[in-house]
Amino acid sequence: MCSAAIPALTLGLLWLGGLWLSSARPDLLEDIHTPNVDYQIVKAQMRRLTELTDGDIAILGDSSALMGIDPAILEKSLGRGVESYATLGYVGPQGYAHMLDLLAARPGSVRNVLLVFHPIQFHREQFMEVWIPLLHNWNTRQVASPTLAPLELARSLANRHLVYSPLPGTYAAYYGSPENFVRTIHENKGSAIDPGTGLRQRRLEDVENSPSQGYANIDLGILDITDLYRQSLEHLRESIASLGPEKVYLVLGPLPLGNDAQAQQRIIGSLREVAQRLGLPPAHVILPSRSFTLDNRYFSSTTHLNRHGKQAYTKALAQDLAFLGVRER
Amino acid sequence: MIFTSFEFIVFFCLVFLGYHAVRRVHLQNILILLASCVFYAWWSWKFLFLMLGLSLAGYIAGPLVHNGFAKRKRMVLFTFLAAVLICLAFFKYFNFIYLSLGEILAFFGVAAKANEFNIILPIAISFHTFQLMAYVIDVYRDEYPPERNFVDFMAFSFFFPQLIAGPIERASALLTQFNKPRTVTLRHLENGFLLVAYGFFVKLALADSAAAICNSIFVDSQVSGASVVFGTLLFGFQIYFDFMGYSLIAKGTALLLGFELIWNFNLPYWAISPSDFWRRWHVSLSRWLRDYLYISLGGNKGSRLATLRNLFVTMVLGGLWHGASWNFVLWGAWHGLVLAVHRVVVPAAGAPATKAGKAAGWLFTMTCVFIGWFFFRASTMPVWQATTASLGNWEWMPVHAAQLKATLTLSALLYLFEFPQRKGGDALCFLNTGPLAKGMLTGLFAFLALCFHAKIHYSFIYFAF
Repeated sequence: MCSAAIPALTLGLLWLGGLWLSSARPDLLEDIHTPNVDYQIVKAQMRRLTELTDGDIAILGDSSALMGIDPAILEKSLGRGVESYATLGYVGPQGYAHMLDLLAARPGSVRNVLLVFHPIQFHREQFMEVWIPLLHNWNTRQVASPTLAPLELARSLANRHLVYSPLPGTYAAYYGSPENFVRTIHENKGSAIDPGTGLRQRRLEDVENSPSQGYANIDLGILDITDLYRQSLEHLRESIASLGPEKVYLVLGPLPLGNDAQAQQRIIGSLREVAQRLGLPPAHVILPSRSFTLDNRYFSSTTHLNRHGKQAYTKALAQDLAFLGVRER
Repeated sequence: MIFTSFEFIVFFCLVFLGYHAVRRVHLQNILILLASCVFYAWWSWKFLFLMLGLSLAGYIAGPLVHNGFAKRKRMVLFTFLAAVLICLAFFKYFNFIYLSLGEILAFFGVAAKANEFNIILPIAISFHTFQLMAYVIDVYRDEYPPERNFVDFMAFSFFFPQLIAGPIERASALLTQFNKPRTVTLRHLENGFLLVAYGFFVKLALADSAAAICNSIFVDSQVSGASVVFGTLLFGFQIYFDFMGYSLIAKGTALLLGFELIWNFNLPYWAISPSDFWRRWHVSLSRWLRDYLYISLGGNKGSRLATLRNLFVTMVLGGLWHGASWNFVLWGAWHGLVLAVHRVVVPAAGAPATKAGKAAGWLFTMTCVFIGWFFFRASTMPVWQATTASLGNWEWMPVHAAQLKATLTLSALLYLFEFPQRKGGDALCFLNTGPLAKGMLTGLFAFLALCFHAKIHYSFIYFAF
């Protein structure tokens, strides 16, 4: 009996200690959504949005902006502070409206907002709506049940400080842990790299000098605006109206389309409709000169540029913005 | 059922209670045999008959290789070995040989590429056949008498704590324990529970943490040389902790039933020469290869060149034993080469005596061992190509900080656990502490094992062999 009593007592004491610590310091427990890359993006950007006050150009939009625009390059070209709060297409215009409201309400005034939309987000579906309450409640953590908390606590601490729990797929190969991914977003003014491709070449010039890999075969049907998206735009229209439409620019996100004039016109038509519904003047619709012309060498997927594409696209966008007068005055 | 599953814990509790309720040795052995059959049938009841058939062949062959004329004994021995090896070759190597031949013929344009046959590898077949072969050869060499008691023999050859992945036990060490009453003292129970708890912790917390990271590194899209280096280091820890965790649970459960199994590891990552490493790593297999293969090939009795050839062939076959894949052949060949080179160089240089010499020997040995682990882990051609090509890219990425931290953590833990064992001169010296310390350690390891009992379970690496 004695040989069983000591281990059982030790186990019980450790369990009680864990229970006490997890109730005293619930922040030490890992959120159950931690391994989810999308969730990490939303959470990290909402934290930045509520905590930062600097940057007089703010970027809002989907993950094509998160992975496709480098705020540091824009900052250097435009001579103005730039911060990206780009999240996911799933969040949609209603989510961006909430973010815009928070941006308008915070102490540091934002002089310009770039709304960067990839055409794929025009095809909004019902299942994406779940992201709106998640965005609103970004700071609410879902942790393990109190009974299991002592066990979760030890694993959370080990995963955070000793080893790590890899993210899925190529994100694991480039970032490793969720913590590293979030840290990268924070350190890069709210932008990240999609590591799907482009890691073999170190410089943009290496990619530019490599042979073209053609363009993606995109089903244009999925780029059409759905009714759900149109409804969602109403929320954003209100937020833009209260901020001032003159401060907001609508930017087309990059996609590997090539010289397909018919498809380009279809997308541009959709973007203009979006601008109109948002109450933005036509002059505030920006079609960056490299939105369609970057081929597959620069993309990790049809929606995400790789790190070289990000540089090329941002440089082009900086020139377009400078041309429109969005530079230091 | 695997050791870290809930089913196994329930299964073992029932066996443990039943075993100690039955006092007679013969009944205990019957219970062990039945429990072992259930344990194996849990994975596949069809292959249970194959495994029992192999054991039966060993049982029959024992007396036949012991009695009679030398010529007949030799014939029986070769028939038995041929039957067992053909069985092993069919299940384990048929596809490998067939596909490799097909590739060669296709390369020369003689035939089209062959398709794989659907042959399932029976779990534990490699360990089981090696243990049976050891028994029959020992009997043939008059090193052990043939076992007449059918139940004792079958229970020995099918003993569930070591059935799946060893240690490969000699009849002189294990079968003798089946022939006499086992005493289970309080000390046995304390040590058994401590070994099991420690094994669960090592497997679930350490090996599986490393496994998750290694699985994300050894992929066909890998582009970073630094990741491959960290991945190789982490795999070295993973395989050690994984196999050590299994072996601890095996030893602990056996001890709770009153059996002593040999310990498979003697602090291998403290080895200061390649041959020292093989005296410390997977001890039961190393001894098997030495006693039944290397010595049978001539050992070091012939010329120097013949000795080197014997070493090399033994290691290549040892590599192939791990799995029917070229990467295991390469792993074995690499170690054969390292051992051969070391054997040529060391007589001239002498064994390291100074601290600096030992440190250099350790560094050299670990470099060779971990290069070997790379061959072992890069198991498919796309992964091999991607990981070797990535060695040209040393760009620092965000992941590398995390990989470095994980590598340092596991190294520090290994050092923390093994330094006192090394000082104590015994790989399991913590079993010599007092009951209070052992009890507390058992509780601590059980708690940590529960913490790391993650949703994703990684099978024991050596279960695949």
